[in-house]
Amino acid sequence: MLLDPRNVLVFFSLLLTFLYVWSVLNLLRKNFVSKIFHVKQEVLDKFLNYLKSTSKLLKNAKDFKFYEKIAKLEELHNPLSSSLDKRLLFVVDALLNARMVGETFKETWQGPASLLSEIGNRFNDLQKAVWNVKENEVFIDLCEICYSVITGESPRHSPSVRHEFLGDLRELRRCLVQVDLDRLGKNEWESFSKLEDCLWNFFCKWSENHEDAISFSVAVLLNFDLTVVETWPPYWTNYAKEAFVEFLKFLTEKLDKTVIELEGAKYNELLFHMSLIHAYVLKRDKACSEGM
Amino acid sequence: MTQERNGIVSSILTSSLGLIYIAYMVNIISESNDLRYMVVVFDLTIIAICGAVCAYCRSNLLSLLSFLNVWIIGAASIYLYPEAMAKTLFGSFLSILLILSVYMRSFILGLSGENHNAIRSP
Repeated sequence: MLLDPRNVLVFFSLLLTFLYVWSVLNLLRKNFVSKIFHVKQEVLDKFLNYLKSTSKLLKNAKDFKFYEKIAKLEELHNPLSSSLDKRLLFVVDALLNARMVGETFKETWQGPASLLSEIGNRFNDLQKAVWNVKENEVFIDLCEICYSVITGESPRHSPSVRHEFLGDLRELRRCLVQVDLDRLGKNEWESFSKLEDCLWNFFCKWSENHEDAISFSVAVLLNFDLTVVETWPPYWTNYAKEAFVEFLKFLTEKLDKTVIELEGAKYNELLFHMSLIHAYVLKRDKACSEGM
Repeated sequence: MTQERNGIVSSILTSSLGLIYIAYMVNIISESNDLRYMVVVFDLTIIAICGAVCAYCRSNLLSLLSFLNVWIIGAASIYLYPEAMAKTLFGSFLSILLILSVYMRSFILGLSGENHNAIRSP
C-alpha cells in the first residue's frame, strides 16, 4: 500500500516542496538579516528620491521647518554618494526601516529584552537627530554610533590609545572642576560653554566603543544638576532648552541604574546611552547655530 | 513619471495575476476528491508562490529552480489525475507566468543589482 507508485510520487513531491521552501526561507533570512549590512547605492538613491518627492508635496505645506530639514538632507546627497560607506548606508536604511530592523534584530539580540524595545523606540529620536545634522562628518559619526549600538562590536584599544584617552580624561576633569554648577550665575556661562566644548570634543574623539569614556561621560552627565536649566545661556533657543531638559530628565531616570550596574559590564547598554548623548549633542549644536 | 506609471501598472497586473492564480488553484483543488492529487496541486501552488518571492528578491538560481519544480510537480499531478490534465497544465502555465511577471515587474521598476526588493520594508 505504502509502496504504491502514486504514494511514492506524492511523498517525493512533498519532499521537493519542503526542500524548495526551506531554500527560499534561507534566502529570505539572509536578505533580511545579513544582506542588510551590504546595502547599495540604489537604496540610498531610492531614499533620496523618496525625500525629493516628499519635499515636492510639502512645497505648498505650511510646515516649512520640516521642508527645510528635508532640503538639508538632500544637500547631503552629493558628499555622501562620493564616499559611501556600507555602515553609513546601513544606518540610512536602518532609519528608513526602523520597524523592520527592530524585528530582525530581535533574532540575534543577546541583551535584555527591555533594552531592545528601547532601541526600537529611540530609532525615532535618532532619525530626528539625522534631520538636524548639517555636516557630513557629524552624520558619519552618528552612524558609527548607531552601528556600534546595533552590532555591539567592541574593539579593544591599545595601551597607547588608552594612555591618550586618560590624558584627555584628566583634561576634561580639570575643565569640569572649574565649573561649579551650583554657583553658576547668568553671566557665568563662559565657563559652562568651555565645559560643553570640552565634553563635545571628548565625545567626538572617544565615543567609538571605549568603555572608560562612555562610563565617565555617563557619570559626568549624571552630575549635571537640573537646577541648571533655571538660568540659560543667552544664545540658547527654546528648542535647545526643551531638548536639554528632556535630555537631562531622561538621563537621570535611565542612567542611575546603569551607573550602579556598571561593573556588570552592561556594555551594550552604555553604548546605547552614548548614542542618546550624541543625539542630544547634535540637537544642541543645531539649536545653538540657529540661536546665533 | 513614465517609469513610475509603469511601476504602478505592473504592480497592479502582478497582484491581479497572483489573485487569479490562487483562486484558480483553489478551484482545481476543491474540484478533485483525490487527496493525493490535492496535496500535489497544493505543492505546486506553494512552489509557485515561493518562486514569485524568489523573483521578487532577484534570486536567479531559485527562480530557475522554481520553473523546474513547477514542471516536475505538474507532471506528477497529471500522472495522478489524468482527467484534469488540461486544468493542471493551465495551472502550471499560470505558475510560470506569475513568476515571470514578478521578475518583469522588477525590471520595469528599474531595480538593477540584487536583492534590493527584499531589503525594503512595506
